[in-house]
Amino acid sequence: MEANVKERKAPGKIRKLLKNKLTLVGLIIVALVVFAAIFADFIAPHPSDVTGSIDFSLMNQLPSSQYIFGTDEAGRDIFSRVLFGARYSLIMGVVVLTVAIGIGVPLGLIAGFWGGKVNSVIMRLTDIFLSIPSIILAMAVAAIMEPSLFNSMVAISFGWWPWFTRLVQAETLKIKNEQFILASEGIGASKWRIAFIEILPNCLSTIIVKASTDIGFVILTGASLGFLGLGAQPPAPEWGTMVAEGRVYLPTMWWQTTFPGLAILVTVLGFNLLGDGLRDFFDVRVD
Amino acid sequence: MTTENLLEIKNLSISFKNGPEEVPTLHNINISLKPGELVTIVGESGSGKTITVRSILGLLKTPPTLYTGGSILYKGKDLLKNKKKDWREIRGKEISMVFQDPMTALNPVFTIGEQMLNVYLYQGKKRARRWFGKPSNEEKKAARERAIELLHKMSLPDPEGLLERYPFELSGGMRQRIVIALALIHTPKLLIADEPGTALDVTVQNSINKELQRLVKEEGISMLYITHNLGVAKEMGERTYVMQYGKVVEEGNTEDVFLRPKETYTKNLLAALPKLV
Amino acid sequence: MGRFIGKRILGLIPTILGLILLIFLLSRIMPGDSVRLALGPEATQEQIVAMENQLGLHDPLPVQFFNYIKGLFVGDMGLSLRSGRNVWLDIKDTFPATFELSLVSMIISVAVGIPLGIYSAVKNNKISDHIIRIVSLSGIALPRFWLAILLQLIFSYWLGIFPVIGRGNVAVESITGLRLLDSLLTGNFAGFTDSFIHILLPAIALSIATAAQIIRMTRTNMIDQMNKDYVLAAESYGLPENLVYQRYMLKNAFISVLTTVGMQFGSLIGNAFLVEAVFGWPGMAQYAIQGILYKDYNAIIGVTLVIGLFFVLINVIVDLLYGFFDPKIKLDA
Repeated sequence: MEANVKERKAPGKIRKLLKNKLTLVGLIIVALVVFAAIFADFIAPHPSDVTGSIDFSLMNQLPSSQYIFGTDEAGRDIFSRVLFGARYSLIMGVVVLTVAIGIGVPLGLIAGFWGGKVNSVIMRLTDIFLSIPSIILAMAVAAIMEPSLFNSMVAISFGWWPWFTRLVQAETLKIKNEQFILASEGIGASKWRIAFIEILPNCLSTIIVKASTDIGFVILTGASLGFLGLGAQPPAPEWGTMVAEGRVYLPTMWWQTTFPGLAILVTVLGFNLLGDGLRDFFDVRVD
Repeated sequence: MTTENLLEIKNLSISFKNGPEEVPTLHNINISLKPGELVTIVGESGSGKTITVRSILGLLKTPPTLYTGGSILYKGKDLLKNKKKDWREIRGKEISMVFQDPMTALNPVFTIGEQMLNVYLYQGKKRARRWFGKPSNEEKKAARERAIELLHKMSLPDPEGLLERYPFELSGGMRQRIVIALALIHTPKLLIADEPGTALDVTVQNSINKELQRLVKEEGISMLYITHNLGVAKEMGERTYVMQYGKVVEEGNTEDVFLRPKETYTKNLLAALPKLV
Repeated sequence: MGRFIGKRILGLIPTILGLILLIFLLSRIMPGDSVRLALGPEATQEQIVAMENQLGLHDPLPVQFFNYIKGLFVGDMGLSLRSGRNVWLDIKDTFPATFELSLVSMIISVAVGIPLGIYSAVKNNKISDHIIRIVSLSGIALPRFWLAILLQLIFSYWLGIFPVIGRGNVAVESITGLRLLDSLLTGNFAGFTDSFIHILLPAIALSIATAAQIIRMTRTNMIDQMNKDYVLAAESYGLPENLVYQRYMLKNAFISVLTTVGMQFGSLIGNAFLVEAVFGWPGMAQYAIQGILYKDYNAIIGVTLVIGLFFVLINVIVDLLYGFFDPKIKLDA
């Protein structure tokens, strides 16, 4: 049985997507960040600085041609560390969203399609989780566990899945009464089959748009946790952690805390631009 | 009655900008209206009738609309040359419009009274003043009286109560009459009725149309009536224009157009009407 | 209208209970060695076990939960392992500072966000619109803790215009706990100016991202309204632009904007923690962060619970405001 996906894209729209300059900028930024993350070993000027080589003779130097972002208190090249830091942020973004979608989307489908008591229970659960701001929940969970990158990802996922459940449940409710669903039910297709093979593909565009917009916010939350010391621990070059470390040396050695933060800003901006462009492309509202 | 034309659309041509392309939409439209006349424009969806009448009030946004030729003369003055100041004199006061779907034409979060009073008090003003220079209590009283007078004229029950209602509380027929009342607040010389009542039941539509005819006959308002419904068109105006694909394909006295159509399109259109008894 | 409020609040009770249960479970599932940390490295095993028993940590979970809820009703949120006091007292001391900061930030965000959003919508696709859009997109991407650090660096350290940390130096009699309000109520103008310059920088750091979101939401909704028929009708009646935009369209758009404001309050409070850390603001953040370091679970749960409840309250208020703006809801109630 083929999935009936309502056609929403016209061929000219792909061209329109790329023409939109802001989206293009977003795409370039994201591509650069991904590139930095993957090839950090090769493009970082002082890769050994990341794995912990300490040279106090070089410490706290101003940005120069050799050390583009300057050095920190252990003489490490901040630029190299920032490049490696991209890995932490990207991993966080991808993993958290995968988990959130993996849990949230099926729950939303089930809630929306089965309806009744199942719907009430799932949505009530969603409401409970959503009644705490994501950052606070992440902080609480991370605080209870040992601080590490993995645990911070768990903590953030904890608060993120309900958004997808809510989104998919709403979409499912809309689609559930469409003709093609009723037709499938008439032929006697099983509920699971209809939910996952017929309804889900029609929710895909909304899910994709939300996921791409959310990556930025997950990275921000992850960096915030890092700043508080609840994420990857030093000497890991996670951007939030670096901002916290560098903060100690203000106001004189301003570069140590400024550049990692700038990296966060640019990365999140890139993902947001991309997400916006995708939203225009799919012509979807993800309120 | 050899008086001057109140409204004269001369060779009006309009295109729409779709990205880099310009799509010609209206081609050399010529429509005229004398004072006190009821003229009908008939056409299928997409024939360009709504675009034509919206351009009379300058309601088309100028990108993407492009006026590629012609003029719209009202009392001899070309409306296409209007600045904002000129439109303030015209809209709601000289020329008014009645919209097709009364549910969407009324603001859902304001009461009928608020909307009617606003039109009375603020029509033609550059700024609606709420603190300094705001409308006096006498003006507000006069506004209320005018609103009640019009609602009464439109045969609506309990006008005072109606002022406190919100649009969603009322039936479609009542809403349509209120939309007409709103257009009449400043006694315009020309009323454009863009498919009024098409969203409503036939019987309601009928009474609305009778109401509009009465306005022309008793109050002397000139009216441009737009419809896609031939049956309605036959009963309304003295003269009829038939539009297709952005052109006027036939015009003349209503009787002539319906009984002795000259163009093939008109003939086909009439032939498609189901014969009732 | 009263029934409407009553129904909403009743519907919240299961959610609140679920919230408490969730947080409670989180804390009890991983006890860790908080007691050991609190008692110090010299504590013997017996002392630790004794303390744990005293805190009820070895009772069956349902019993613990029941006791916790019982305690909540009398304002007992358990003992903070650090301060030794009831957590509720600690929170009562620190909450007003966080609340004041969040409130002032929200006011700034709304006061800046909505007008800019309207302006951006009116100048749709013109240059000023593009500039505002890019600026607001950057604002959303700004890490608030980083912005706080930068603002502090530039305006406090380098330029010396604003104080570096703290809430204020001039004594202000405490009535509501909100220094700005209290200083006005007691006619203490020195106190007011002092509190004002202390709160300004942190509030700005907090408010920018929220303001940016509000700008975007307002803009989108206003543009949606622009395509509606009632706007065209209003134009055809010759109504002035400011009436059409600022009253007719805004009232319709406001409902969605209100939703955003409600949701943003949550993210505002969460980020308040980070800004408090940078500016040494004596709010719940400091208390919570110390609690995190010392694994003071009662403190952590207490703070999370209070914030959760507060957020629920905000959402109820937003719901009630819907009724104020949308006549359909008002009349259905």
